[in-house]
Amino acid sequence: MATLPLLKVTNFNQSRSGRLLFKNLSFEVHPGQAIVLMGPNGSGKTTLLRCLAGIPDVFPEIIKASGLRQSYVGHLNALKSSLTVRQNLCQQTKVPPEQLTKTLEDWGLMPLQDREIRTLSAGQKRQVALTRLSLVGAKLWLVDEPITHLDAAATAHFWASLQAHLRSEGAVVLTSHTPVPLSQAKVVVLHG
Amino acid sequence: MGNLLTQMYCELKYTSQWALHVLLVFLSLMVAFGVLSSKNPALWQAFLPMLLMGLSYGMTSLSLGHLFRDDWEDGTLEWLMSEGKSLEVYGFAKILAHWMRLGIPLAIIAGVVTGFTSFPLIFGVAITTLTLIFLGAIPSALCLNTKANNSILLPLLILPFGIPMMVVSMAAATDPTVGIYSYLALQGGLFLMSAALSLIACPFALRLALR
Repeated sequence: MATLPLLKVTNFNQSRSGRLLFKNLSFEVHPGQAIVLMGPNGSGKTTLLRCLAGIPDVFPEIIKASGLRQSYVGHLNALKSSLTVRQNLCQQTKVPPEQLTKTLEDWGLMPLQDREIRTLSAGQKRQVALTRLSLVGAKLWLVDEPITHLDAAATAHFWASLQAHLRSEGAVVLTSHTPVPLSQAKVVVLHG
Repeated sequence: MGNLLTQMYCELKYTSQWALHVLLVFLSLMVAFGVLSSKNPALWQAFLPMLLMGLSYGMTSLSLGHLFRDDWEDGTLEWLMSEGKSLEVYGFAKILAHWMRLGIPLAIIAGVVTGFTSFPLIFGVAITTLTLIFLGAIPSALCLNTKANNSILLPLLILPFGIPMMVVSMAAATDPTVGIYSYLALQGGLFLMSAALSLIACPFALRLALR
């Protein structure tokens, strides 16, 4: 029996500053599936991802499963520079401290937990933002160029946690400029 | 209600550095005026209400650029929208927290300067700053997407709306001919009008900024 999609996009059009980005775009996202949005700079990948996340409006062409929880990490990490890593994640995810500690250990971020975000490198900030994805327990992850600034170890860890998420019937829509190591990924190419 | 209190708590706990700077500028200007008019106490008495209201307006309007700017720049605003959080609650919490950091300390300083003898003046500073923050929240959100220098633009944008409030507050503190309750009613009316307008318009302005 076919599973119901978590997200369904039907004949979706979007333009920016009078320029058509994409027209009649249609695809579905099912549990366990990864959608990779690819295309040249300015082709509308981030715009599409923002639309899927409901920023700044909810579009009638984008239908989500009832009660679907999503987690979004955009270009900006949405972290407060004056707060520590732990304070940021605590405030945003409201998870128990034990769960937060375990996730930070998994990501190798325990040594950074009490450091303010302003003192971290771009790659470390990105890791903290990506940690939020696995903390909130959302079924659908929406991630904009996740591995930007990440080193090899952090990149490998991200792909591993993404695989685990997909195995647990989660789904992901991400943008990327490079091929992703996900065998089951469906690629949507935007031409701009 | 829980979301509102949580948002306000986070605001007050973690992002108050700029408010301290604004209050220090306010305090130093008050001290400077006090020193300059020390030879003429009548001058101090005559100009104090005007100085307090004028500086309160200046400090409040200059601080409005900070209201949503940090959340917009670091992506928090975008993230809140993606999480489906209410922009109405978010806007209200930001405004109240902003007032608690700035308006209440200004009113307390006004009280200290006047020796807590002029209730209409202290109340006037408190309610004028709150009204200005409610009014200023709309252009503050609308200007997020612009490259304009908001520290100059925002005070100018709210000036036409801020002047009536300042005139009423000044009159309440200095005019003995009309009963104080008439002025309080006027101040309350202006405040309620600005609060209602802001709570409706602010979420729309924030959505526009995120387009």
